[in-house]
Amino acid sequence: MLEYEFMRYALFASFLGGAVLGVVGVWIVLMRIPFVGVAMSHAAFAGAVLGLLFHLNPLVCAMLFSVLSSFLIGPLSEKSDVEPNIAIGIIFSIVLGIAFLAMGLFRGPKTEALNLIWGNILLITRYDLFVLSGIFLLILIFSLIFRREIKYVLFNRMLARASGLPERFIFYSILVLTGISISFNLNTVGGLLIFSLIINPPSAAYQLSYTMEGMIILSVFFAILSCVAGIIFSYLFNLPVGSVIILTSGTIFLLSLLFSPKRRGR
Amino acid sequence: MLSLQEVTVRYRERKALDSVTLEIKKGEFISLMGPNGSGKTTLLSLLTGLISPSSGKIVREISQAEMGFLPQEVSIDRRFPVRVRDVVFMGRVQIKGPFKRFTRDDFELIERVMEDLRIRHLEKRPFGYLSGGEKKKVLIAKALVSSPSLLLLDEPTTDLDPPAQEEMIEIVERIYRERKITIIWVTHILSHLPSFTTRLVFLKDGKKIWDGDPRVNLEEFYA
Repeated sequence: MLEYEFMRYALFASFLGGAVLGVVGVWIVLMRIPFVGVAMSHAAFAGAVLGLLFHLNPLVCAMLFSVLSSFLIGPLSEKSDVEPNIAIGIIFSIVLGIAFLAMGLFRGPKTEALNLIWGNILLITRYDLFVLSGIFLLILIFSLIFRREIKYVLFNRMLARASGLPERFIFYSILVLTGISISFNLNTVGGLLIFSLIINPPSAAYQLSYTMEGMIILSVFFAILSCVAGIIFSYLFNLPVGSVIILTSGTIFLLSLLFSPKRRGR
Repeated sequence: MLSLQEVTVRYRERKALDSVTLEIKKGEFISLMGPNGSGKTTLLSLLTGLISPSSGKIVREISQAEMGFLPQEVSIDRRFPVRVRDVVFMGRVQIKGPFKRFTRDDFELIERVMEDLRIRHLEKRPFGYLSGGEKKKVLIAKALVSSPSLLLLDEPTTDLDPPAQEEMIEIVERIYRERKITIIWVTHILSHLPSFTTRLVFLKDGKKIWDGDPRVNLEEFYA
């Protein structure tokens, strides 16, 4: 299957996208705001559909919407009278409403917009790979420079702030980078399914690891494994690639839950 | 090193702190007491810089990085992937910043503090699996490795069984005497007032009603 260029591109995108989503997923799972991933992926989807409707670059619009939603979600999860997950749920429903409104206003075939819902890693272009590499580098540099601060903020934001760390900078950087990562991975599994790639691999890693470094390594590995296995199975059995990626990541989570040493108390 | 001048903190209509003036001097062991809801935790949050006053002034001669803080509780999932040693190391993060590497001195300091607090044997244990008393000792160790000049302890003996309470008081006394750190100890329980307290501050309904000699009849204040 490697004789096809689109397959080589898809596998390369799996490594880059898996690494990126595997890392940002650990951040939002450990901050206990997994629904941020859901709301952001749908905000990105809404932005992309609006971009298509108004003949603007859908990826840029997706990124703008996703980053914008992070600036709404951040303050809401900090000091709102509304329970954070409810606030995120409300944002989620609003952006989904916007997305489907834009879909309704679409004239002609909706194939391109539907591709953003379901995504297709097999349609990745050389340009997409360059962009994904840029995001990968951005996440890598941020993670390396601020690795200790990130660990501290994920452990306890209040303690990090009290000790004089730039806790807000780290928190908002995490949200913005999550938004950017989601937007630029819309092509791989699509807006509706991307959040499961953010949640399932880190949640599986959470069951197996006792350190954050270990969790990140496992999460990245599971995310890449899900993408690569998804591509291979869809190629062999002619199945929709996005769904197979998600089902693979879900299976990995169930297996890790089953074999988690933490279930036995240690 | 730190002073509050006529500081008031309002949560909507309610005054959690009402015109409190307080000067913290180097070398003191201040026990901050008062019933539940009297404003003790609000006062600590002000000192640590977690909240700002609604009115009044705070004069700081030390930065946040020079303060060690033990919160009343750290809610963390039992399975959270962080080991005791990682938590203690966090105390050095604000000192080193993002670009300086940990040196041999940092490692030695961390090991020495863990020995002092008798938690060396726990270093590889996941933090979430520790008992309440062990968690508090780890967080005190985390605070100590930043070599603070002011240590703020919010209800360090609450929810501990009597032997663990005694051990906590003994550990904090040792820290106070050997390291000459200024300490603020917060408690709402009369019997948890350490005997080596040099100054007692009592809060009631957000107001400071006593500031001075700890050998005062506290039961009157609770009446």
